[in-house]
Amino acid sequence: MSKKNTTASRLSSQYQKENRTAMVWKRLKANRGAFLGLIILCIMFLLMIYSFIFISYDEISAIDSKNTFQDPSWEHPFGTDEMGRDMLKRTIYGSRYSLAVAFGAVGIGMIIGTFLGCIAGYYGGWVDNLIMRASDVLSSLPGTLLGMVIVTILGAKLINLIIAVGVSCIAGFIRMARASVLTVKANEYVESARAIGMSEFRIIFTQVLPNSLSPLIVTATARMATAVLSAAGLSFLGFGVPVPNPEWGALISGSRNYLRFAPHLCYFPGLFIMLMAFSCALLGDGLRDALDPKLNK
Amino acid sequence: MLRYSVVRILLLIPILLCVTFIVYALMDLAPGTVVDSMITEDMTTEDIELLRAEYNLDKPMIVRYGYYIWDLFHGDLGKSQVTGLSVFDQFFARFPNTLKLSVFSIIVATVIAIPLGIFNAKHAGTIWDNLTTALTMIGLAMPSFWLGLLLLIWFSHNLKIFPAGYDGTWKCFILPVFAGGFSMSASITRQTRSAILDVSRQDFLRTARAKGVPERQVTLRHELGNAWIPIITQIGMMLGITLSGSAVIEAVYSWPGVGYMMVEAIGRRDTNLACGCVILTATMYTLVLLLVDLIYAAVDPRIRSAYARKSKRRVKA
Amino acid sequence: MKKTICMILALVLCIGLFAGCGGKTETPAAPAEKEEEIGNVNTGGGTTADSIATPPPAEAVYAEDLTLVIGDKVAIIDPFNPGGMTSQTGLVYHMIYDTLIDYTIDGQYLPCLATEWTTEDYQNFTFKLREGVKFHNGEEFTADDVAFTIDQGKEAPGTSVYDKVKNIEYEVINDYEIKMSLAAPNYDFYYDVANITAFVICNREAYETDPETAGQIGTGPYYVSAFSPNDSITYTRNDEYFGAAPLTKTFVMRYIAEETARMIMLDNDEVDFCGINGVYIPEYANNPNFVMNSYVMNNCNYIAMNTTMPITGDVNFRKAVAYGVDKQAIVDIALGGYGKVVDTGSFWGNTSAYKNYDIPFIERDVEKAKEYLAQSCYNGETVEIIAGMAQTIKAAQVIQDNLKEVGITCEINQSDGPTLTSRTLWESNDCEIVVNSAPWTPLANSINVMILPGSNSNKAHYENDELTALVEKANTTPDGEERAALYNQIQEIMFENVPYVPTHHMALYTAGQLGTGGAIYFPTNYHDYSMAYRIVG
Repeated sequence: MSKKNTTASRLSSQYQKENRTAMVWKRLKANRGAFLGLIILCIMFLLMIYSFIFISYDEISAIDSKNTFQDPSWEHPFGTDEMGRDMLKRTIYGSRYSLAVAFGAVGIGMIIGTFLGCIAGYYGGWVDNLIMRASDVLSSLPGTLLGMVIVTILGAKLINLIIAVGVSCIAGFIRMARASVLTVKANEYVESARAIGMSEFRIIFTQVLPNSLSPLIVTATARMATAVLSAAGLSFLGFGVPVPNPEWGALISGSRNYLRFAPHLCYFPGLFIMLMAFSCALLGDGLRDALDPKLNK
Repeated sequence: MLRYSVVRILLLIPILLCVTFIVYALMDLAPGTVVDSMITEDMTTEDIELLRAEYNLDKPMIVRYGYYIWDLFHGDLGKSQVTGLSVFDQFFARFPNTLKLSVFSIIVATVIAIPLGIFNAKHAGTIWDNLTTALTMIGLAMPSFWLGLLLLIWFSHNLKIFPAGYDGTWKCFILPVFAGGFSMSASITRQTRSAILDVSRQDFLRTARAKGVPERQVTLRHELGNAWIPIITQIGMMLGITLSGSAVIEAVYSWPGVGYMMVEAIGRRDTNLACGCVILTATMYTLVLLLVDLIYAAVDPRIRSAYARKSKRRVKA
Repeated sequence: MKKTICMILALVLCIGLFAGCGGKTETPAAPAEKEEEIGNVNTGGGTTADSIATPPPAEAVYAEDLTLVIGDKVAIIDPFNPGGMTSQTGLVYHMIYDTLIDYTIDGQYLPCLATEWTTEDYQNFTFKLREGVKFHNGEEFTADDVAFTIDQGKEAPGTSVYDKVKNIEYEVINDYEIKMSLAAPNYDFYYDVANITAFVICNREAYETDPETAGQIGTGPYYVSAFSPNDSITYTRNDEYFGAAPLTKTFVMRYIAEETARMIMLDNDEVDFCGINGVYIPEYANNPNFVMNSYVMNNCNYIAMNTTMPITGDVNFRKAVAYGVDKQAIVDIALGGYGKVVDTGSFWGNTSAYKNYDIPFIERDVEKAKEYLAQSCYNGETVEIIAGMAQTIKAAQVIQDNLKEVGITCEINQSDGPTLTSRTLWESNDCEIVVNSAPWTPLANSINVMILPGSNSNKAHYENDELTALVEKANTTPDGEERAALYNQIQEIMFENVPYVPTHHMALYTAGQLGTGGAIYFPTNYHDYSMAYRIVG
């Protein structure tokens, strides 16, 4: 009996979901800004794939002391740096770090934050109190400081940079997930799920969470922009990926001493950071409009 | 209201205790100690042992944290391990510079952003709105250290208009204020725009217009007057964040503020200084947010009554 | 559609801004075209030696205030605080302190606070002190202050003064005479006494009244009139100074973190003196508005290989590295071409005593390096290179690139100061290759800390009984043929076993505005700005 019921409900929700996804996609397409963001993000992905296939590590790390500080030319469209390495290749190669941080850090923050937030929101009481106070503690630590200390402890590696940025995302997601779980919890279908004897855990992750997903996706996308920026900031201060890996923030940091005669060294990596954050912010904005239930008509 | 403020401040205490513990534990986990930042080529292993004993580094972390907390309960933030000077003095010797920078940035950002936000909301959907929206997006997406470096090169080096470092005159504020304020003004503009748009759907505006209130007064008094809260929250949060100093902007402009001091404290493993800075900035952040809440209550009678209701309910329960 | 166009338009506008504002300055000449001899870029004020030989014209009008930009912060001025030692300490102490004996740039010992000194066995020394010298707080300088400095130094482990005074027993004979005796003869004792970063004389009274600022009280030509930690130090001329009176009234040392900002300040005449990085040298050397000074640091940059680790412990591997690294490329890349590649194959200070010039310089030879590598136990493992400073991190990238050609895979571990130190102390030895710079004084005994077992500066963790015996013997041998023979032998053994691959000595440049001079640049990097001046008009 109960099995039949859930199958039916699943079917209907499946149908609803498809319908909804199509609608969101349609709205997103209509929102030109968000569409532009999506395109830029796709281009970044393509650049990353291109760099995996066509740019070897040797090409971006080999030192050529005869060709240092070349101005932009057809041969080196972005010029060369203080070690004679081609900046175009290095910048393209660097896309993987930013994408990894954007998705990895926000992914870590979202998974941990949402999990804790759901538990806090669903159970309430002392669990809620404990988790929320922990998130208060986390958010009163300055993000840069926390990131720096984490990278210092774990060492300058990409994965550690992702962790460092991810940890400072957690608090936001806890609050976000908790708030949306609280609104969803009061709904009838949660009651009915409980009535048919579903385990608490299953209720949270099969009923409550999917229904509070849309604000989380919006936050995550918008959060990706900040993650890109804070990772670049950490790299700029020297707490990023090890040399000679061309993370964009590290490229700016590496060129900062030569700006008086080779300002182009910092133009392009900065522009790429900006484009990346810009695209995430646009997409987040568009998704918010597209997923907004107020506009559901 | 008073009760609310007191509770809010008391709640800060356990949070700060946890924060200090986390900072202490993390600094202990980091490779190297404050002694390692002092080792010179002549020092023998015995000298290093003596020095470690002097800084209590031969004791476990929890014992050192105990000493620190003991001092903290006596109102003493301890001494910087590198200089031996009081952390409190060291922080407040530099804090005015950070305060000036953040207040100026906020003022400039607000003065630019609010009219721009109103303008955007009024012209929602037009080309001007789209253009400024795109600009604010760019503002949010631009790394502040990058903008800082670009401004340094363009205005200090190429055009020679502004000085490159802190020299105490008004001129040296312009570049860092702009570099830090750009993204702030972008987010305040966005907040203002959406707040005004939210309010503009309300009925009382139609009533006001029907009464024949001039459009300008409708905008300033009724629309802005009812849209203040999210805008003030945004500004308050920005102020709270900038009070802890922006390490990257301070690094680029050699600004003698507290943000870079924290970076240096970590670089030399000066746990007391790092911890003290975190405590003071977190306290200030909370106080600013509390102040924002109090301002709401002062400007908005609805909120005042909400507080009153809440405390009444609590009394009943 | 409109919105897209707007977005793109805004982006294009932004990008256009760069093109518009990107006013170009000339790119510096490639390193190949630079002037041949380091030390000869001298377009006016003169190098260190000249500035002593030619005093400024007597009738000149001098600027009242001068500013020097320093590249490292000064958190506290106190010789007895272990946190007070930074790369700028020497600069600060030259301004406000005096030592008993003055060590000049050409290696002579001249009277300073002590007027006479005698010894018979290099174990017992007698110093006669100058009379009528006053500290900045008005106290008279007496033998009691020297005694205080020694006592206080012994209680401050971790400071440089501690290391110099810990073996000294003293006896105050009268107010102006003090006798010091050592546990063992030290033939280099006068250098220790003249060491400006270590043995500066402090005032007992000052430490008893206000220990927090007592470190700013000395007898030197300037006193500290304002001190903002980590930011700037302002000195004012001490009119009661016993020596030659400074030509400038106030002197400011400012810390500016961002190098580009420093250069811009120099361009805009906001500062008078500023240290300059390699890539900028051609630009300033050819600019008639600036006076360049250059000197080659005595310090030796090196690649240390941990001899206790399996791979780097193999002498053939170490030789492969020695032959595989292109030292000129390191200078070109890390220093913009302005540095001096080591002139012998031995790890020694640039002009330190007893340098063995017979040891051949190791040219890069990839084939030979590969031969050595084939004989070693290396089997394609990834070797860790640890480096902690901007210069050494760049050098590490060159080394990584060079060694890749030989067939050695390296990974750079970019770390900060405390991490590097804690991972390379004698007791912690899991680091394979360290790229760093070793401080070398003009004396040969600087080698002690680099190769004696148990020393924390022995980054190679090198332990060789024969070498240890030789070094200890050389320390207790008076200057002469015998000492020279010992040091020659030491260098030969080091060359055979290559715990360290010496790479280069840094050449440092300082630019001053036109009309500046008088600063004395020491190869130890502890410059004396007390007689700096700027002629105006």
